Amino acid sequence: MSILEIKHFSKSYSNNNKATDDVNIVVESGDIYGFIGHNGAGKSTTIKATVGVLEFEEGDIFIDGNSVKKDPMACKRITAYLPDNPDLYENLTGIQYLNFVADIYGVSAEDREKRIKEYGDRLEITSALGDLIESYSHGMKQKVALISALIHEPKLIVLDEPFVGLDPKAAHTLKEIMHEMCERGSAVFFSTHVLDVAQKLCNKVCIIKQGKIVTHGSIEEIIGDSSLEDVFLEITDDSESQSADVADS
Amino acid sequence: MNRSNIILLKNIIMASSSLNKARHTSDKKVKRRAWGALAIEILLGTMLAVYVGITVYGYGYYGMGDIIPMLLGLVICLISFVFTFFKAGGYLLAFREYDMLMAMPIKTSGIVWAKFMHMFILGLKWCAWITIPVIILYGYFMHPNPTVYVLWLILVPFISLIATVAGSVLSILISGIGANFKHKRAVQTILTVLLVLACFFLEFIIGADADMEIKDMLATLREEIENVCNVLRPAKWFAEAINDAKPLSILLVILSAVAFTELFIRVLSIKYKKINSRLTASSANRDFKLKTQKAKNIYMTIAYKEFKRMTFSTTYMTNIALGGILTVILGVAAFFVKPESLMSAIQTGGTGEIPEYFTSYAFLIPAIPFFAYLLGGMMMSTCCSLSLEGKSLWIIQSMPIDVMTLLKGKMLFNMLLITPPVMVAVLGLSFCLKAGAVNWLLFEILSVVLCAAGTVRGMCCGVRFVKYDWVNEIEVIKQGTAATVYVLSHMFGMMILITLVTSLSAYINTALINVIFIVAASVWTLLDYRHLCRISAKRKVI
Repeated sequence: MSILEIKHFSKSYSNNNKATDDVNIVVESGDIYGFIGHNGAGKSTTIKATVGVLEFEEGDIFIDGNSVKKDPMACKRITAYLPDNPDLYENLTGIQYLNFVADIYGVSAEDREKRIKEYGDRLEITSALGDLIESYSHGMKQKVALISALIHEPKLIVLDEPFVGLDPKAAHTLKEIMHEMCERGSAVFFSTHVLDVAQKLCNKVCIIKQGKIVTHGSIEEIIGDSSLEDVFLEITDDSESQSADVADS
Repeated sequence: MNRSNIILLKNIIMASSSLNKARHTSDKKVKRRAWGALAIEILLGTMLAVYVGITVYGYGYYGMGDIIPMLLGLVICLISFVFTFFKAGGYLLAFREYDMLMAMPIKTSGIVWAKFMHMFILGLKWCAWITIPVIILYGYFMHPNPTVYVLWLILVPFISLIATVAGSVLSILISGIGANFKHKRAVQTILTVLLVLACFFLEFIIGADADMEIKDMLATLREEIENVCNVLRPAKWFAEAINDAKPLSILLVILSAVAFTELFIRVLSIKYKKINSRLTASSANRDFKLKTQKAKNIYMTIAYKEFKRMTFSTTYMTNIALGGILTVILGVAAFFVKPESLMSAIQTGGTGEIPEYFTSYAFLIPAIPFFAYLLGGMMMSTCCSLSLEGKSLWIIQSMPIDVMTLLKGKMLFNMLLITPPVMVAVLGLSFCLKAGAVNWLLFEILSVVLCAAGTVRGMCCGVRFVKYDWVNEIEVIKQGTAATVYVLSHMFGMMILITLVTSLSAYINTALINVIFIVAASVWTLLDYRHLCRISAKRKVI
């Protein structure tokens, strides 16, 4: 069953540059789906449109059958988002921020306490939850943002470069959490530049270049006997030379 | 002053210029906003020029044109001081690009100089708006030598510079003192509020005695201006330079401005890193133990978040909470003040006979809720709370919370903040003016309705002029279009209502007036709320 369906998604900004062009992605229940591309390829645009942060006109995005355009609330209730550089409310303590998020999602007091304890201990951030977010390092903010994303047990978790700024232990814990979520029937959709991690962690990937999907599918189909890095470099080089050929002709 | 300092100043000005942004973007919304901000600035500048011009015209008309330069000197000092005092902490210390600049091969004194000069230049444009009409009127009444105009234009920036330094010194002192404490923001807020209250009461003490003709009032004010200028010597030197072209006075203005500035920059540069390090360091215990958590309803959780946001920022606190503090002081003071004293504080000297009704304090009674609300509703958190989401907007955008729920939570916070002080002021004023129990009850109901009306109006302004891409929160709280539009409409609106209600009270029973206004204000609030629903859906603010 597909948790996330992105259909013919295109986004242009006011200068008529297309950030994404006819993007089609399907993420099914249990998938850890890697979204890979170079800087400025359109990954963040796609992700932001999926989670309702960015408006778009062309195409549609469905989360568990609900349209992001027509029923954004239903989509947001079952989705969690973690941006690459989470600007949190610095004036709140970690625990105040988590309670704020839990209140918005309607998580009961018992459930939030259980989940904050579980993820706080696993990410080794519990002792810092009483301090202002202002005093946190980037990695600590990532951890708190991650807990806030998991606190309502989302069906779909969307992460933009989640491993940036995390220490190795926290990165390992995040991978474990991703697996656990997928075993429970949820799905993970994340963008990354760290191709080693994507290769080991994901069961499916897609590669985006200059706003267009150049390849997608299961990790085994995509990489074959080679590595994801080699495939990525080959595909993106091929795309460049094709563009050059078209330009020459 | 070396080349890298000038380059830095130039780039700081460009980086903060909305016109530069508009020039290099293809986003039509950004361009429109930049031009809109410029239009509002021109409008405000014009209003300021007209207000100062009318005052100056009065002096010229009554043959006191020689006081005009002194008055201008004082006004420029006041404006430069006030603008700087509230901004300097955020501009000069712990700003966003601090780390980047301090890592560059630029001397600390150069960075301090560039940031200070940027702040000074921003304030100078307001001085220009005041100076131009004053020069014109001075020329009209006094027919000075043409060199006076040149001298005037040269000396005004120096006068402003002195006051800018003074404002910066106080602001930095407060920030520096606060930096030594664990709860630095609380300390800074308390010190700022105390200083502002002291200024308010100082102004009250040296205010003109209200019971006189205009000419006499101007003459008394003249005396007081001269007294103040004997303390604030630069304003006096400025007046002497313009009126009498005294070379010594000219030199004193220029040299004192340059010397003051140089001293300030050198001293601040020595302590700069230390103060910034203390300000940016946050105390962290890292000893939290998870206890039983409580769930709140969605509106209270948003209101609580707003409360924490407000108390986190000295600028936000002093702007929003100060009105409430003054309102409570008014209410408490009214318990101890005689109605006749209140009466003489409000009455202004006019020509002609005043009808008997207006010579007793009874005519003030129907205006009690409006007086209380005039002060308590001076600034609404709803004007800027949406914009203050800033870079954290993604949190709200990605959560299952619709825009009206969010706005209701913000409005709830504002109501909880302003309604109690206004009700206290109504109680105190009703007691002072012997309004009676029935009137008092009706006044309290009206004051709550007025608070609701102001809350919704502030929210409409906040939605209509939302700005998320601010770098310093001062851009939203102090310089924001939403706040400016709200404050101006509030002030003028309340003055009109106070005049209306006091006039009506001569012919209509107070209780009836109150009932009429309760109904009218309630209808207004409902209509404005519907308008808010429409514009927030149309503008897609989250």
